[in-house]
Amino acid sequence: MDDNKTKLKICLNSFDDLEHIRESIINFCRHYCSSDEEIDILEMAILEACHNAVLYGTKIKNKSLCELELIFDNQSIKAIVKNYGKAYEVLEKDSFSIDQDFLQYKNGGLGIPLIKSLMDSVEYSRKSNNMNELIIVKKINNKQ
Amino acid sequence: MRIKESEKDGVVVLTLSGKMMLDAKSAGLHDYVKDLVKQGKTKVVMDMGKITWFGSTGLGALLASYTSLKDNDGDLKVARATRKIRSVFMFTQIIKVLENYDTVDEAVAAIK
Repeated sequence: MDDNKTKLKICLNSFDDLEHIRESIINFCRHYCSSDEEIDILEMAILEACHNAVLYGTKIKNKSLCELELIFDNQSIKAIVKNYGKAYEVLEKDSFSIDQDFLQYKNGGLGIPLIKSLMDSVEYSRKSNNMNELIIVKKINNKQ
Repeated sequence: MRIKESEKDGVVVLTLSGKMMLDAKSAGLHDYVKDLVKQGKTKVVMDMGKITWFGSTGLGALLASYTSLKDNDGDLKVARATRKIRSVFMFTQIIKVLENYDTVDEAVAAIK
């Protein structure tokens, strides 16, 4: 690994694993981010993406329920979240805005809009074998 | 997530604790608030100092609760939100509609 592009790969198989990866996400971000707010925002968005991946994912033999890859590349932190199962409805949803009718979120559905508003870019692709790949990126004020 | 209800100076104080994420209780927060509205209790402070995990389901329930209270001439204030919650409120501009106070007493005074 070189300093300009550092990676961390984590596998999740249950909601309990979210608790464990939380610290890994925070530690990874803390290494590069210059403010607590940046770390908080990244933690929230990445955990939200992993949470959704575990919730809606389907267990495939010899595969993790969800795979998270964190990459620091120049001035950005990129999270790649993969799972298998139902396709996401990512592109159809707008970013969260305080001008929206909040009642639409009373039973959920805020995950993707929230991630979109917290991150600089959200890309989704449907791969073969029903694999979903969500790539979320945020530019940071690198402290190094 | 657990919800503990108390009352201070005519304002309902809901002390929330635990993980405010995807579980029936987090989504049920809005139903809880709607029941308060039916009882004519429309001024609510949510003490979030003991929330250990905050996800989109909890945030959705919080925002829906705010709307239901506002629609009934009431209001919702937040007290003791953790740094992480405050960061999300700031970044998403939720802070413009949902004010956070350092103490429950300050939130109650602001909503009275």
